[in-house]
Amino acid sequence: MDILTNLMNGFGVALQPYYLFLILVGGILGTVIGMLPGLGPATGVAILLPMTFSMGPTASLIIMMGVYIGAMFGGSRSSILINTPGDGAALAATFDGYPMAMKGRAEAALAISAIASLIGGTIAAVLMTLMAEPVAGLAIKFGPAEYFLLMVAALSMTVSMSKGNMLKGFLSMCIGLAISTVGIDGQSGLQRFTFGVLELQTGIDFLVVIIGIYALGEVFKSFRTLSEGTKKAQTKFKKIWISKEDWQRSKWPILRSAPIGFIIGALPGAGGTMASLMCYNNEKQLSKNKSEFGHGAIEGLAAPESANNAASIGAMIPMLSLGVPGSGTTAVMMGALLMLGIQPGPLLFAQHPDTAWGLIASMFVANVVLAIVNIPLAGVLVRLLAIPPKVLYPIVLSLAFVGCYAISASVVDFYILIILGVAGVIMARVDIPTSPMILAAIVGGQMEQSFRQGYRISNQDLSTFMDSSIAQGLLVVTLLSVLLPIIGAIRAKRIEKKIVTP
Amino acid sequence: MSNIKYNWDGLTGLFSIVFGLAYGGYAYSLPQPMFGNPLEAIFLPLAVSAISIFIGVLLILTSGFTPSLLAIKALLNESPQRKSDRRKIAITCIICVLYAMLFEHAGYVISTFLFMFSMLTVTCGKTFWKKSALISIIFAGGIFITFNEMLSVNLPPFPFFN
Repeated sequence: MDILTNLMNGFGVALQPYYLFLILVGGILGTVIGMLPGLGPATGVAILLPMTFSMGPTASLIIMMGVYIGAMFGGSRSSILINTPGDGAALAATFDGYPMAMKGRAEAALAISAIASLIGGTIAAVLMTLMAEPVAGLAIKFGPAEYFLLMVAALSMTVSMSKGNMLKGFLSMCIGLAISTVGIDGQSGLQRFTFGVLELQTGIDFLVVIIGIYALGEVFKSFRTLSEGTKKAQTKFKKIWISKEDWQRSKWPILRSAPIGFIIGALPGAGGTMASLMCYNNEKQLSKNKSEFGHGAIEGLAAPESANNAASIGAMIPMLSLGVPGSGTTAVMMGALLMLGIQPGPLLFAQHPDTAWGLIASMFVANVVLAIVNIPLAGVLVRLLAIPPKVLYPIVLSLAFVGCYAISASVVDFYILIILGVAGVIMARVDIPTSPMILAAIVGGQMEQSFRQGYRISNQDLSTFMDSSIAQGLLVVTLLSVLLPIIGAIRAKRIEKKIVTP
Repeated sequence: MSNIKYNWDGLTGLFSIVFGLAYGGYAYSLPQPMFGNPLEAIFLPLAVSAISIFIGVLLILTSGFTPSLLAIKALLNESPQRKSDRRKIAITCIICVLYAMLFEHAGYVISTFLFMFSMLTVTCGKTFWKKSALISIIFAGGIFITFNEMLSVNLPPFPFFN
């Protein structure tokens, strides 16, 4: 009952004309950014960040939420029309979305992707409503030792779930932790790794790390697509809607994929890409029309679209309830909240109920608003795919620099931004995942402080990190997240050997 | 040799070891804090250093250097188009560094105009210089007004009118 009352209060906030306007503006901006190849929700939210500084925390979070969900809606547009995903989460939409467009069914593809996103997002928002406060209630029981172990678990899960070699994921995490140690140590006053540079005494802001990797790094990587040229998108459509048969085939895949997407999204580091690919494969296994997958099966588009929208909402759970961001985009949102003087985490619901519940209610509203924007206006919006990336990328670079300056008012961060942009390109080249580095840069400082607090409180007794049942549970999660992929890899190698030598 | 797939694991491992040694060594040489446990401030750096070295050793042991040498060969023999892409990234970095050096001295509008114009020349070519100049001036002016007037974020003003 409390949840319902709080949610109603949240709607009281989210449905105010000012916030509705912000959802609409954020949603359209997000759709546009999500549509443009190479620019995902994290980049979108990061470059729009300075614009939120003059807003209050509620408005700031709501517009960013609009951008986030909008980008998830928009990401599939370019997948369907030009076979180029707007971001990783929209990758699965190319598998059947583009073949549908090639068969002259672009209208049905655009419609089902928006409908699936709406339903998936709404189911996830209901789950979020039910789970956010209980999770926050559990987190109140956390002491410094549990917080330290929670962050260790989040890092190890991010490493094990990031693509590629797990060892490289750990290296990425180490680099991120190293970044988090730059600056004056809060507990001893010692200057660490500042190399005599005054501006480094306050540390490297994790938002600079995010902008460097996501905005500069992505633009640098996109030089390849610039030289390959761009594909022309279809811009004239008949009625954008689906038939009864399309709906019959899509409804169960949409409903099944939403909760799966939500759970995967709530796991740190997993995100929309994993959710959508997993649900695509899941539907392929369950489908009676397996052979149609990859050739324009509508359920092959509906399932990942539902999942990735649900995942984007699931990713808000760890950020809002635990104060640990689950994805790059929620990391930027958390940064915005911290800059506005609000600490996300278990006390957010008690201290700032308007912000917390207003945000949750805005998830419902944003999904409806974006479905309205994305179905009838799809024809207008996709015209933006005609903007040449060679004009767009310099603009993104410039916005990244201005965003960085708005955070710190220091040009030293520009150099850090450039170094990180280049690092992003090199890391992609040598297959080192960037997400563990980003998460480590964000939580590293807090993780270290929690460890030292726990260590001091227990009179330097390390057994404090294994005393409580929560701590033991988190240790088990950490161990499993490291061991399971190793066991899986060993099994896969054995099977491979058996096949080679029968 | 021809059956070996190329990858960067060996070189990544080497980097990991060098990074771990340099980072850990620097952490160990930091002055001791005036109060509290002298090692507390370098607990995390030393742990990070140890993990990096361990990962580096594992990467080298599991992969060796041969696949990395093949990867370097493949990189050097890439198509001229890919090499041109890398050149563009290098030029972009130089432009970005120059932008950073100019930003506070020339003010936001002038430095951003020059930055955007240079970048558009890199991406669109010299033939579109009129369009590039127009886009650059509109963007630089528009962002300056938006941030300074509407969002109260103070960007460096014009140098001559202060």
